[in-house]
Amino acid sequence: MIYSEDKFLRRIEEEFTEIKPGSLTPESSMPKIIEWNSMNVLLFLAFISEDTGVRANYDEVKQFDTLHDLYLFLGERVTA
Amino acid sequence: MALFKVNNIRIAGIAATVPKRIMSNLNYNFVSEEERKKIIKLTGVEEKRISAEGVTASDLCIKSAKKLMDDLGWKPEEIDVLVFVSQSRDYIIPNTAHHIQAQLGLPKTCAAFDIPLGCSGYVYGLFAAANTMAAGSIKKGLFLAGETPHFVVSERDKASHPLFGDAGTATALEFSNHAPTMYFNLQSDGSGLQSLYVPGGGTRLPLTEENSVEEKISEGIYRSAKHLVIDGVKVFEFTMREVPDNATALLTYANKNIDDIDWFVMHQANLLMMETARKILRIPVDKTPYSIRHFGNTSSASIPLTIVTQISDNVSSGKSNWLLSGFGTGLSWGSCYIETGPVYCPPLIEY
Repeated sequence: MIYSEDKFLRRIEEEFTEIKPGSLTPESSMPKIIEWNSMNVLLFLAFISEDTGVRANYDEVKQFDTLHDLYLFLGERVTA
Repeated sequence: MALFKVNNIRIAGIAATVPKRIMSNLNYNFVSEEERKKIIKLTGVEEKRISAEGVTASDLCIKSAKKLMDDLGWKPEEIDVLVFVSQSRDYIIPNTAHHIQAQLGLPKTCAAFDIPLGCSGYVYGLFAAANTMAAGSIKKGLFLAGETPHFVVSERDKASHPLFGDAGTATALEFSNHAPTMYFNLQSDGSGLQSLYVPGGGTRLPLTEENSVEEKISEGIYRSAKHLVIDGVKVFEFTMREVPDNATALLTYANKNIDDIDWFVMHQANLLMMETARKILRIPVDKTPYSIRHFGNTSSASIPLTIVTQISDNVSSGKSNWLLSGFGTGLSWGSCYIETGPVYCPPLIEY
């Protein structure tokens, strides 16, 4: 990853204004926090691509229960 | 790989026509105001043009072609090939290109045919038309790309209705021994067919009384078999996965790099997709014109419409290098690199 896990959480909060700033933790799960419809999935995939350079697909992203697990996955993809 | 060079063909001019009728997404009352704002943010489409009853894609293209021929001083009898790219055909049989050939007064010696491609159609069609002319026996050709997607979009489908608009364009192609080489990279993947398609109305699923009734698919999405299906997530993933790599392979083939490009003109799919692809390719935003805000996604017409409405002053006045990228239904995608001289672009026509 190009930045810390805390920064990753804060960046998600910046991108999704319906999420209260400072509320995300490593154990948070996106589908449980916001409506996980196709629009938000698209915005999330675009955010990942722009911030990390990882072209992840939805099947990859949805297998992780927590943002911590997703952060680790993205970190591996960046360094791969 | 389907990498091609086409020699001795230049783009003499590009014209575009849109309907006068404006449909604003701010008035799309099928969804809440909050959702409207989110749709506009994601797609980038504030408004689009919808043709009047009885006006077809070929009508819009004919307007563009006539203007271009008049302004360039091209006589109908000089044109030996006409290619019409569209999925909004006037008739099931025959090809619409023949109707257009007659309407434009082109001679019987003119070859005319349709290519029923969607969002990749401008790049594919440009290759087909230019390659047909490259042998040298044809000196002037017309390549028309137009679409009226509202015929296949459900008004009660928030995923597709706000996105699409109508437009018809014409591109004038001319044989020239001095024209720089055009480079193309064309690809396809039919395994992704169901992520962007109209299931009914063809021979595989004829329309019936039963399947023509709209059904609720999900919240905010009602469709029948005659309506366009979009799996937005799949299409986005396809765009991210394939479009930048296709363009990169093309530039390698052409021995060019990003700095050589003056204009990166993408199919106006939706703003989020285009911006994601642009950032992956690291192309500056000021080299990437967008017309989607006012015209929506006009399928194969969107690349020439963007050139006419956004960069016509620049491309009309001198040489410039273009990277064009089309991608969408099929799945089908392609890119081309062109070094152009001045390209004549009359102001946008409204009809």
